[in-house]
Amino acid sequence: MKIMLSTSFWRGLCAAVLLMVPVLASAQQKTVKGVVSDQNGEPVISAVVMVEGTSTATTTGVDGTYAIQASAGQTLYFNCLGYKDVRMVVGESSVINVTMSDDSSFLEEAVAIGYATIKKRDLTGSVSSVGTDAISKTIATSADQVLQGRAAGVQMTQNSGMPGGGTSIRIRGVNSIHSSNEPMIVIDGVFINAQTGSSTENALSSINPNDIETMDVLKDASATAIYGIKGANGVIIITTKRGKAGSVNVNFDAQTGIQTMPKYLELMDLPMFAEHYNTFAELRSAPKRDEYAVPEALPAGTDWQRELFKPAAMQQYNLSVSGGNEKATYALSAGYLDQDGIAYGSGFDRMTVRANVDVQARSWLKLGASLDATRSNQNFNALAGNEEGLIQVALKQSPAVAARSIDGGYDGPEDANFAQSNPIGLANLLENHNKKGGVRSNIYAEVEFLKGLKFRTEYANDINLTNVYNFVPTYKFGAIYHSENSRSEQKSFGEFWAWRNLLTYNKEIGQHNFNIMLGQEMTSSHWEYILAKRLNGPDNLHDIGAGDQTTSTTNGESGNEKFSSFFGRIFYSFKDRYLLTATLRRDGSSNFSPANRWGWFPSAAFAWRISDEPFIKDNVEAISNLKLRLGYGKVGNSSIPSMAWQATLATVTTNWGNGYLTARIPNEGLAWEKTDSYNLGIDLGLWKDRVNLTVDAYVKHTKGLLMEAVLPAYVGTAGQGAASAPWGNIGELSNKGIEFTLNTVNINKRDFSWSSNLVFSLNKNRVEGLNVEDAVIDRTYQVSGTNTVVTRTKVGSSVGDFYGYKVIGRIKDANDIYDKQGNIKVALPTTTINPNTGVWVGDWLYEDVTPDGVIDENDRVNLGSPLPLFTGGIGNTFTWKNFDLNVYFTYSYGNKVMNWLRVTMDNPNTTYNKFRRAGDYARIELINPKGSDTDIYNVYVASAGKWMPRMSAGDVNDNDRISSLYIEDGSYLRLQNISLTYRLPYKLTEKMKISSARISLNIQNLFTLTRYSGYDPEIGMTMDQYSTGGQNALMNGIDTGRYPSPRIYTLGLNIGF
Amino acid sequence: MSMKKIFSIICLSAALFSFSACDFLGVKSESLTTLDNFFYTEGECRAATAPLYNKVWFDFNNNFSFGFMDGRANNIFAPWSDYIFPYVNLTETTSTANLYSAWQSLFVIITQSDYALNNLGRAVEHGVSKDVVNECKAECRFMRGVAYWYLAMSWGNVPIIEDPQKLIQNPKCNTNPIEDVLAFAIKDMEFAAENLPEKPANVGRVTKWSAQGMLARFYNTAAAFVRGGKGSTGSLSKTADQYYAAAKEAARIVIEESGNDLLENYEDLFKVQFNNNKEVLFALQWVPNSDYGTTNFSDSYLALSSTVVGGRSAWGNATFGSGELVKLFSDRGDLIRLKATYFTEGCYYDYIRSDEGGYLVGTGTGSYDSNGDFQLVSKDEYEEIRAWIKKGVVGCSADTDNLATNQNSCLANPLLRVADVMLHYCEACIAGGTSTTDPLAITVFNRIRARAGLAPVSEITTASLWDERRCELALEGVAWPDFVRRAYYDEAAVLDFMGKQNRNAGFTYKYDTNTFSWKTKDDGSIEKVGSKDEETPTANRLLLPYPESELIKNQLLKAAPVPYNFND
Repeated sequence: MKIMLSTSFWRGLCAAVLLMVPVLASAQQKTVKGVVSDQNGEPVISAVVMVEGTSTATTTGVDGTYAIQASAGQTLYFNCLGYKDVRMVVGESSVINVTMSDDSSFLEEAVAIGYATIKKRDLTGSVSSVGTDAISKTIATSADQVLQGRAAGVQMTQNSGMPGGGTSIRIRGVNSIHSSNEPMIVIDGVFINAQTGSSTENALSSINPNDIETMDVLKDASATAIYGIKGANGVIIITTKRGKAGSVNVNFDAQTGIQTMPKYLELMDLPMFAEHYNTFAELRSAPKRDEYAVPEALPAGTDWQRELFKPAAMQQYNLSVSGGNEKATYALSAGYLDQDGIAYGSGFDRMTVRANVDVQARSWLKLGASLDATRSNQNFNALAGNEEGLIQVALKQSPAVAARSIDGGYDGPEDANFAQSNPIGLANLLENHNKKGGVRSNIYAEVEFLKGLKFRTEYANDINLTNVYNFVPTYKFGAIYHSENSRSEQKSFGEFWAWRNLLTYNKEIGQHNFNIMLGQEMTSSHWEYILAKRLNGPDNLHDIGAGDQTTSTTNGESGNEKFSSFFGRIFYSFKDRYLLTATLRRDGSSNFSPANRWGWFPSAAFAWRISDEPFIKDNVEAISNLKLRLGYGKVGNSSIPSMAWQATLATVTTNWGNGYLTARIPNEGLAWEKTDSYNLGIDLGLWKDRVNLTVDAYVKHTKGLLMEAVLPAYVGTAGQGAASAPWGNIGELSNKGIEFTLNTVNINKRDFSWSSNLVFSLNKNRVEGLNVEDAVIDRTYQVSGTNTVVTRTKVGSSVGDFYGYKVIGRIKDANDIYDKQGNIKVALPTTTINPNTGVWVGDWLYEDVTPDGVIDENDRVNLGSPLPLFTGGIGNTFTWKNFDLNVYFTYSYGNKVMNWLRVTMDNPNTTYNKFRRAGDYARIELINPKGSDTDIYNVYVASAGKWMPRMSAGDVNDNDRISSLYIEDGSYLRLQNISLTYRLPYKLTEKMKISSARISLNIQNLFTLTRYSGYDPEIGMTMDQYSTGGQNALMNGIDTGRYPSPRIYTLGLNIGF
Repeated sequence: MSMKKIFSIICLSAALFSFSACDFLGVKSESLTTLDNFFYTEGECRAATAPLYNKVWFDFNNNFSFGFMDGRANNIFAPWSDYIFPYVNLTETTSTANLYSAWQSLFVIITQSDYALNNLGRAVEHGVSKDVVNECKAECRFMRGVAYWYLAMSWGNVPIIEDPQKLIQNPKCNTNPIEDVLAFAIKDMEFAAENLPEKPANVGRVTKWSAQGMLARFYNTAAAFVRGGKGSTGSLSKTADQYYAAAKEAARIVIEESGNDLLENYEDLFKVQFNNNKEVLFALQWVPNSDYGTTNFSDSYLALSSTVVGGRSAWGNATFGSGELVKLFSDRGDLIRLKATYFTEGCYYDYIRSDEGGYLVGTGTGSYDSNGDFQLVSKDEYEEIRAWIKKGVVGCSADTDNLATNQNSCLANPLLRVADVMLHYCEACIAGGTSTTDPLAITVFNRIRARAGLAPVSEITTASLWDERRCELALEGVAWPDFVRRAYYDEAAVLDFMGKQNRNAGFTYKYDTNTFSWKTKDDGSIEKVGSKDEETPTANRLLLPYPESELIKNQLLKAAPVPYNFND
């Protein structure tokens, strides 16, 4: 075996390409043989050899040899990824040896840049691309999962592990405080408002990941400026697969898998719970329970985590057909996904059908259309996230309560007060699901009426329907009695259309190359929804009509948003080395008053291909590519409620018909939010691109941040019935960062290759200004009915930093409180030192920030940021003969998590179930056993868990106040994906009359290295409490019982015909 | 391709480009009314004041109205509910639960009244009759006046806001002194009294009599303030006696001219079926089957168990009547009002859980059979027997003609009723003295007592009026303002009284079948369940601290108040 020195990142895929080609051997021809080698004389393995115009084909073996039936005069076509194609006409000789030369295909890849594609080598802006390769290696149920850790500058966080659940996508940091931070997503020309952030909504869940050809992430403003209207948060362009001229490809893909709970938290079992219950009851002189008299004798009780979380099945099938000829190409596909959730009562299924066709009708006219239909159903009964969320309910429910009662119903607590419901009962009886349907379509015509001068007109349309169903029956779980059933349905309808017209002109004059584009675009979005609700009626009939008509309530709303845009782009290159892209866009948004509607968005980027300069090209052989990029651009954002600039009135129900209150303070001066962004990038390829490095550094500065003014409550802008604060161009934000992608081919031998990729993104976010210099934006969350501040955003810190008290220690004995003279020497919330009515040994000590000797709300401090310092991914692919092994890690470093569950679950002073460690609360013992237990000098902490204060009836010290105690390090390294693929040998598949077959074994989320004590350090956005609505940038990283991401084992089969 | 073709394509593109330049971007909402299209009819004017009876009051009504207004007076104790006990224990801080939401709610009432008031002028331009517009303006000023009175009672110095939109541009402002706040409230209420109709446009809206009753309350407050000699700005320009006289006259008008009168049966006042009865002068108008915000959570917060409200939300299992007030009722033999105010052990209600025969406190639902034995239908769940809250708890939906639904009692809870005005009449008669024998005062005082099953008296003293008000009006959100008003001129007496109230949210007692006893420890002191320490009553604690987040946004709140510029 010879060692191959030449390289190609793609070579391993050659066979796969071949296998798409049906093989039919033709008789009566001679056998042509030969060796295919590269410039260095090394054999090229698995190159496709094809008799042109026929379906006869073969591949080269490990020694580069091939043999094929062909007759004289026919042309042999040699193709292998990473090499330039070769065509040889068969002559007299039956031996044809071929030398294939390298093709830097990496740089020839087409990248979508908005209204056009460009070769990667000509790119001047900062764009990350993820292709089919990555998609096929991920058991992705939704397109956003593929992006995680694979695209530099993109931070992808799953907000929920629930099937069909949402994701927060941040491109180069948090750009906004009140409006959406999600990038714009353009799917085949349809603009999708990526409200992916809520835990039940995910705009991308309607797309079958298998239909995606590439996802291109436009990051810097020189790239996104062409989408000026919505480019502020970055743009993700998703291009779906289209047919290619050639023979018909049929591909079938099946996956079946099992999902399991990756981690269980340690909760108290019944003996521990009973023991704790008894001690706590004694302490506060509450009645004890007879059945807990001998805790040790009790059984383990109900393990609610294992009742709620069960292994769950998933399956996924895709069938696609594509093909065509020079005149017309087509692609058809159908996909089905069925995924049960690991938490009882959750699941997602989706059916997609897609078709597209491109027709070269005349030499000067090209037409095409695509249609994509989806329907999905999501059950979110196990909705996590607040005190009513079933995950919290299950964790806090007493192990003494059984999941099922003896009569087959659901058990419940004996006392309904301060008790939890039965999560299994709720998951089974309640109905909480949504059904969605959507059709996305697109039609275009392209006229080339002069060489290089093209006109394209395109119409894109998106229609979607969402139905949300909710039903709560009457039920009785022990003492918990729900007497009133309620049913509600929400139906929403959304439609989007865009019409765009593009005129492009290509011209080459000597060494000058021009590409000029002029464009016009208009888009319109409309949404509407109705809600109907009724109470009472039979429990077995869930429709609205079955409820009591006299209890009906309904609601309905609609809204519109329109944009009109004109834009131009010029791309100019000189000697292929000096590249310049300049764009100018003028956008009008219906969200602003006529006077402030229009904004200009310019950008320019310059790139210099240094590697093409003679002084590198001729002297430094190692450098195959070196490009310097420099860009500036301005992008806009108009994501505000469409009537925000006007004085509107809100409808209020009254006993005398509709009432009206002032809804919002108008601001006619409202205008575009603008982000200036600067980017410096270097692309470096070494040793024929065996090593590829892309580094980008950027500064983004957002001015005129669109947000609601931060106002004191006495101006009447907060609370029920309030007139909302006016939107204004108020704040200023900056994001600075550096990111890189490193791709290397470490080993490339004949039977074995190893390639790696490393993605790293670092971003620093800072609030630069708000409407009042000392304005703060607080976000609260409720602890047993009381709103508590959890995050505070203010100038100088990053968005949504945690806010609370800082724990500096635990009082272990009297000496921690008193000095030698007997005076209190530390700051305490009260000066009463008493086990019941004051501070005592075993309580936490908090930092006195002010410092005035008293711990009060002025002593709260910034407790860290939920935003990571850096994130990324590390992938390694090993290929050995027909085996592919892909090991892919994602990581996040420096983000803090507020472990909200611990506020109640670590609190020793409740009757809820708790974490096992709460049993190690600080035990107070007497120094002199005969002395007094109310003498502070006679008590000390004998033992205590790391996170535990003492048990106390009154908790005067507020040991469970929001403090640094609950802030944990959320850094992690996760083995996100490991997959092993085996390609059946060609000889075998040939016999089976199929062109290729692959079997793969995939494990997702195998393990996570982290110091975080909860289920999963990847938290994402928490929705505002008691809402199922969208994400909130100020409620990041708060773990209120996030639905854990499952570990997924899948077995997959892929067959090509 | 011919040049003609090229030309036609260029023309087509030009046409497309120009097409999009027309008024494509002008969108219109089909959901939201804009101010431009409003205030054209009488109906629209009335629709602009209708929400001032419910939604804007929601956060105030939710639990501050009893948590603070009654908790602070020590009418409630709730050892575990942090929206009550800090107010009872005098330990609230700038971030105590619901301090902010109550502050916020009172200012929502004020600013929404301001907006309506300032926009109603458009209706006159649009041809709506001036009388109608003035009636509506009077409703706005009524609401604003009441909200300012509550603010004065709770926080004292607060900003007076007439044009919130202007303030939004520069939200930092000074507070105005209590005296100006009271004077402003009085001016609003005087306007309301002049312009409100005698008969309301809809049942439940305020009338001239509502404003007169409110004026009696405000004048007595002003009289007490002036009497204490605390004013400095001169905005309360009359003497204490003049204010008392004005209070007396306003109350007399209500008593003698309004046609509003005491309801015969005290208990009926707090039944949904008697919403807006003849005794009610001002009540919040919650809406059946409506959404969060226009609903009354009264029994969700207060009901002692879900049994008592037929399976609807009930979070009041640990919200009790204070021992001190239960003892006062008990000592006075004031059992009719006790039964309507608190659920005490052994008390039977035939109109609560009527679907299961009735409700026996401490036992459950059911009814008495012919032998006098209680036949239990469903057992109640409770912690330890004390007195729980009854006022505001309306029972199950069958008890309310199916109006009450989960988290909405539908009770139109009165914020002012005739009995309150009658007692204000008595207070105005006592004025600067210590007792009165004014014939009308004695008459109305005895009518109130007679309804409560108490014997008539021939003289009303400051002390007897004090007790009468506490028992008659407990849990109706006016208990604490009585303390504040008295403290204006006799701070020492109020602080002394508070000091003797056994004012801790943890003191326990037992009350059954007419016997009251504190639960004591071996050393004779009252046993206290897991609660935090109470603070000693001080003058500081007569007012609440400003909410923390307000102080951060506007440090001027800490600065000395600035006299308000009354420019009319």
